[in-house]
Amino acid sequence: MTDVAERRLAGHPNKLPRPKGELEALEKAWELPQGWRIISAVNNTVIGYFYVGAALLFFLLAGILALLMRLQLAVPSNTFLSQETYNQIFTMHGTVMMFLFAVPVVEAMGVLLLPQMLGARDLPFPRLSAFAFWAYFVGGLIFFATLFFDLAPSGGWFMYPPLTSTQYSPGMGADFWLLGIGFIEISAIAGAVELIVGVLRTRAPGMTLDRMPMFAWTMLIFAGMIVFAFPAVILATMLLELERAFGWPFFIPQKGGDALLWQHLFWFFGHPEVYIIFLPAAGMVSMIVPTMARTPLAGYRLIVVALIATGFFSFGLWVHHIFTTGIPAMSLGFFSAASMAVAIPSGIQVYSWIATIAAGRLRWSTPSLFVLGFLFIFTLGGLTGVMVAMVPFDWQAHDTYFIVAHLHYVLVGGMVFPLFAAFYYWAPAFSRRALSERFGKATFWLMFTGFNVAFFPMHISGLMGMPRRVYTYPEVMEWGVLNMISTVGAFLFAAGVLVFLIDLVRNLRPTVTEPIGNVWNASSLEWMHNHVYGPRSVPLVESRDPLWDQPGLSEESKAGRHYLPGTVTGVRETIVTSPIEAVPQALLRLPGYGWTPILAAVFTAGFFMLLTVKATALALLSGMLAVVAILIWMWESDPKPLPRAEIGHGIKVPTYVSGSLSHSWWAMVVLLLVAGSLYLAYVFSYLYLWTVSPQVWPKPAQSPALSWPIIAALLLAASSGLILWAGRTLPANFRNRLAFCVLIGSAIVALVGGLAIEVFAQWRMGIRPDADAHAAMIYMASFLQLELTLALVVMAGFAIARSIAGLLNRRRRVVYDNLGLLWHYTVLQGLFGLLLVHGFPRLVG
Amino acid sequence: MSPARPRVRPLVDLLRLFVPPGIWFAQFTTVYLAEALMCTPPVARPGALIWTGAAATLTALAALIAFAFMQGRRADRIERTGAAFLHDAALWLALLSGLAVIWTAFPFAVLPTCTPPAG
Repeated sequence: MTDVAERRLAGHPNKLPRPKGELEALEKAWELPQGWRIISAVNNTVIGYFYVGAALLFFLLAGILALLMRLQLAVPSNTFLSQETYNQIFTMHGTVMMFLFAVPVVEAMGVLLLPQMLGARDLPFPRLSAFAFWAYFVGGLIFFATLFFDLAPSGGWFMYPPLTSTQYSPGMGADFWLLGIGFIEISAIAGAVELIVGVLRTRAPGMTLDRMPMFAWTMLIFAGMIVFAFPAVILATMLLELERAFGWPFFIPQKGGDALLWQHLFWFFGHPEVYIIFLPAAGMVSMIVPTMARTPLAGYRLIVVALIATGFFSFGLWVHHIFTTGIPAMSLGFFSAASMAVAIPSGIQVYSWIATIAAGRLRWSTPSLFVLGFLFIFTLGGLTGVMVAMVPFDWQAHDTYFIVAHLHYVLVGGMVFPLFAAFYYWAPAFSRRALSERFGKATFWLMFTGFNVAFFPMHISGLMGMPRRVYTYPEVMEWGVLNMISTVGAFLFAAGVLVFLIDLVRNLRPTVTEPIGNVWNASSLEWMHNHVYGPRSVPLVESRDPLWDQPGLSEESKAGRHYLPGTVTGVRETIVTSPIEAVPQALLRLPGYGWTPILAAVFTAGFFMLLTVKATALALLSGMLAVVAILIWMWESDPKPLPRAEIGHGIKVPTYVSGSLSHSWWAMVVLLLVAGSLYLAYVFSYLYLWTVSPQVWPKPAQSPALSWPIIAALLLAASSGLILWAGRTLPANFRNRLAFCVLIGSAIVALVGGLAIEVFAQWRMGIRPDADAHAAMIYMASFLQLELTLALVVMAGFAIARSIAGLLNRRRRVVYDNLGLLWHYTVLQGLFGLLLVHGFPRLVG
Repeated sequence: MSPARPRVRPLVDLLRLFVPPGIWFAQFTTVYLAEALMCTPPVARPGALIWTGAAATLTALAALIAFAFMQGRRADRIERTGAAFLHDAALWLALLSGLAVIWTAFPFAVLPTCTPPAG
């Protein structure tokens, strides 16, 4: 922080008494819609409640499916479920738990907790949070409902082809998985963008990176991992759906494809997914342990280092899920080594928690019990993880119940127990009543005992040779007793969840105005006085444990002595601060409640689901309505610049910023990282299939003449140049406005033309996407380019419309800046694609 | 004369944190892809694999040492608490990434190249 900033931030930012009517104006700006219209709310607290509630609902539904499976497996040769029904149920159990519970619930906790924890009034894109939630909820409900219409997928939660190809899964079940999960992943990415920008740009003044709560660090890394991991599975779902719908043979060996490509892409996402789930849970534990031990977290800096290292190392582990697929011995060695290396940063975290507990005096509350349960179960899961990281052992245990035991010890231990600790810990911050300690302890002991009774015997049944995913087993196998014990354990676990639900009904009274408050004497900001607008005034943070080191902070904030004690512009606002030092940089005006996010989500879900059932016309209509809703939403998202606003300490900040100061610039940069990751996954797939089937790659003479890609490349480069030129003529008067529109229109023509020429060049050579894997890969490059091009056409039209309406000019230029960023990225991607598709066959031909 | 203040470029400063693990990931990807390419029919040059692995490992270690050295030179000019924290964290990550680089290279020392898995 600069000296000037330090002087400015000394003492209280604002004086008392506060002007009359200031608090009322703040409350009016943050007023919530009443009655059933509450579903149009976009505030993080309300959306957070919806989000957590929906995720819990899916947890219960997937849990019921687990109980049905355990009933079926309780005794040998059971006929309680048919084979197909069992297959659908175990597929849905895994899918719902991973995609509709585990990831969404941690995003939900982020949406609910982070603004309060960071001292912000809300996240920077409240409507995006609302969109992400409704897309997930509507899409998830439709996906789950497929079970009741015999339309559910049955190929296992990781959907390996060829089992999920049209040949072996001819119905619509696999399509529902591919399009439904692909859609829900997009919602997860939307949430991740929100969380990254929120953590980096909306922290309270003074909350430098080294003062940031550990949960915020974990959510930042969690969201960053989503950005790099999820695109791989999105690409995989696109490839498989294109193969199923149009016969593009990415996974068909007879045509040069390879089923193992799916496994690589899936697990490149799937292994980081484990840490994506675990890291936020570890963040929750890092918040709970210091409070319960009544001492600061030991090794804060080392934990941050360990979190970042874990995040990275987790991307080098994916092959340990496919050790048995015939990969060369040395490659197995690399992944085995990386799998063991990740134990170091994970161990740092565990030792830090133990050190914190040892340094303080642990309070024996329900959250503490769940944390200790987590340490016990997760450590056991980690140990079996090291076992299966050893290749020879994995060959023996692969696809047995040993793996089922291991993954549940890791996931339930590493995520569900911390989550329940979090529910009991944070309930008083959002409820008029705390949850019951008596019920909580009963919940813990039932869940802890039930879990170990259910899953520990699976290690043994696995070592005895019981394979995964079998719907029954013969009596002669002697697995019956162990399975019966597992079933009893599963019901004990469920009884624990039932007690928790009773506790929720009896005691949870969610509120946006008067929660019971800091019953644990915790140190972080979410325990200050709380309202729908967050704190009355945004606190000046001077410590890592502000409520311990800054006595009276909550009262001062409530009295309005800190930053932004009211609303300067009459609408919802929060302070934008610098990413590292958290110095105030701007005042961000936030949108109020509205219907566009929910409508956009419903119509987007409609587009995907109608496409799945092959109602193409209706799907297109739904898609267009979604675009219209998004455009209406966006139209209001770039408010006109106002004079600088004073937020306290005499600091005046701009009310409109562009470029890298703007929160939307950061969001677009994150989005570009997502697009780049997706494209890298494509490049990997292209090269991977070449190593498998070089014979289907064409000789240079069979490729289109070089003049075609050169023309396409020139057009793409010209479109970028036109966009840059348009930036220099940003409208200041009518003449400029006309020039701007003409330049943007010409850029669209050049961009679309470049893509069209590439497709035409391939087509005229007689190359068809269903011919072989190489041809499919060529058209896939154009397909990926088409997606971005369509988005740019809409965005460009939007920019033209805003310039005509006089809402886009040299000062009010965020729409243009974001358009430019995506445009130049798209052109670079297109140029690289041309180089790959036309250059690589010539290089190796 | 007081030392010059470093330029504040938040995105670059944040990304600097990811350089050491990024170097590990680059080495990891290189050796994995090298084996995938050099042990399969289109390329099939097993002899070059060991040299590629050694070169990637040494380059990665050199890059990490250079990074740590440059961070050390920047340390004198950092006054801000957030930036100082990032600087220290980056150095720790360089150490951890160095261990990971050596660990990843370990299979080169003990396993034969281009052999199918046993069993």
